[in-house]
Amino acid sequence: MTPAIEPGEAGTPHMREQIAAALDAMPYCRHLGIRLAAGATGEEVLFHLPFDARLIGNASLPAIHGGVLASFMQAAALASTSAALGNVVPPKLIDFSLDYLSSAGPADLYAQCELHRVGRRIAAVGIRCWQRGPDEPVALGRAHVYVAHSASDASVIPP
Amino acid sequence: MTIDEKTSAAARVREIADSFARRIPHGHDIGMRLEEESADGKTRLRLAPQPGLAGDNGGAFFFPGVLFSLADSASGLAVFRSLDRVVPIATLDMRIDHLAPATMDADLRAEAECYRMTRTVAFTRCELMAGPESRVVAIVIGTFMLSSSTPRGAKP
Repeated sequence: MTPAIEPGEAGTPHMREQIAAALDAMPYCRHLGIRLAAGATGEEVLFHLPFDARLIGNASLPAIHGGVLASFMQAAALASTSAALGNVVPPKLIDFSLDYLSSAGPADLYAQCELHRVGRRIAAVGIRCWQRGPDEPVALGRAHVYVAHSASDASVIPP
Repeated sequence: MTIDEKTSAAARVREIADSFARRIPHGHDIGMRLEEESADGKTRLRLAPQPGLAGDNGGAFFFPGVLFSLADSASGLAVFRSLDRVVPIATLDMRIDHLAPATMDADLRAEAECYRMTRTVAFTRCELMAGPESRVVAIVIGTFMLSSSTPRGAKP
């Protein structure tokens, strides 16, 4: 059974609540300060990571740590998948691939996800991350997320 | 350059690389530690479990991005250590495969190596180990671009 996700549904208040709840259920996301963008309309789900000096990876450029970019984009992919499926069982990351397009300077990060496919067990998610605007991405990510539809299903296959 | 000069140049590059790795602000934030270099030439970083690094509210598993951060730093350092001069490097891409859950009952460890270096690109692989038995929980493959220019302040 493939859960139906209507494109217009993504920005509904209910969906936003579910995404916020999914982010809140991941302590490292709280540590980094990942949240839904404030003031976003019902049109889209936008993830936001406010800049902080402790996110820096290269102090001489300066540039945000590649692992922080990855964590932010993974959190967006996991929360989006989780919300799309109704938070049944927390989704797990199978693999994640990140293309760095330019170094991310000391400024806020934004990200948006596209659920390319949500199958019975696996969701394929694309993640775009930017600072100045969505047309100038600093990184593009791709993830496979394992989604269990019941607790018994969750115990069958790692991770 | 004599063999002695080459050796000392390499040692100097390693010293600079290691000192850079110890000064990563995000590395300090999450508690990354650099291990001494071993005979096999691999670059090793480790990270102690802390509640803030968890991916679940139960605190049982590391968040996947924490593994990525450790692998990113270890792989970048492995490239720096393989260079015969100090040049800026930029990550082109990095991919992680999660083989098993990374439990938070022991230090998370990364072992990275730069297995191929060309004039412009370096290729890395990194294993991440977790749990009391140091089981391999993830594999990370990366590519890095080497800058052709000599950075300001670097001595040839």
